[in-house]
Amino acid sequence: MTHPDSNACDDNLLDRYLDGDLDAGEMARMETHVAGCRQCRRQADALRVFSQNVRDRIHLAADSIDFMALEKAVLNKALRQYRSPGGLSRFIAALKYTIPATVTAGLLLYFAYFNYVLKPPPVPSAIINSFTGSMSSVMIFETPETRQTILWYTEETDVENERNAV
Amino acid sequence: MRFKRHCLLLVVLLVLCGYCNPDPLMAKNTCRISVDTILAARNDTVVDPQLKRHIGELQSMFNYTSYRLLSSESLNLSLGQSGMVSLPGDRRLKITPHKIRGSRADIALQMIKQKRTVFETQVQLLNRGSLFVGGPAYQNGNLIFKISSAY
Repeated sequence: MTHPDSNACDDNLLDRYLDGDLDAGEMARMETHVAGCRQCRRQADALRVFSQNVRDRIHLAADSIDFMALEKAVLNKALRQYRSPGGLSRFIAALKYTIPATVTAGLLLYFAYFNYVLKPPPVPSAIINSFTGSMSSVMIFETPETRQTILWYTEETDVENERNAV
Repeated sequence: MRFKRHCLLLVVLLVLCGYCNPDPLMAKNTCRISVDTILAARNDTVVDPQLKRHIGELQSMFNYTSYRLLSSESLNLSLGQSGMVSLPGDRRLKITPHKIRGSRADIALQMIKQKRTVFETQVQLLNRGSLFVGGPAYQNGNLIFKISSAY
């Protein structure tokens, strides 16, 4: 280290002087030296301008950065390991939706099948358990396809119209 | 929270399915009886539009060419309660539903002409099914009574 008292130029000391790292005695001596040394004064001015340019560029670059987006990207990257579960966890998570959906579909299919698809064979629309009365004739029969029960009778006074029947 | 939502959805579906199921889950004690009076004749070829759906198969069995709906009457009867329907030719039909068993209702029918009972019968009528009672001469044709039940 060059002693300021030697009145020699010292780049290292000049850098520390510009950075404000000198103690009070050194600072006073360095100020005296720089005031008297044209070369050091020019170098100090050049370094100040260079430092200012660097700070300006850093500020400019910092202004152009979207820190919110950057923060989100960092957080997403950090949380990714928690968001992508393993195979078993993913399977269990999928069951939350699969089971209700399957049960729902099964119920709908069950009722649709038994109510609309699986139609039972037609049965007689009416079963006649007993029949009594005073009439000329009675016929009980059913239609062949839908098995509609028909009770056809002829009243005693309507014998002449019997031919109108079946 | 999601589990509760799924349970609620399941309950709603079960209720809907129960509602759509034609087999009644609860016992019914009332019966809706409707009686349509049809005049079947051969003097023309008129078939009332509201009858076409019901008598399609009858047309192939009878040799009538026209079917006219003369009247239509409905009764809401409790089990054991009797109802009376007036029919053409001074006839009346007394209807008494006695019991509902599964998909059939036990119904007593009594046909009365003037003050005389023409016939009495006990039938088991299918829910939403019909019994066709026909034969009495009327005007130029014959009467057919379509007796239907629903409960």
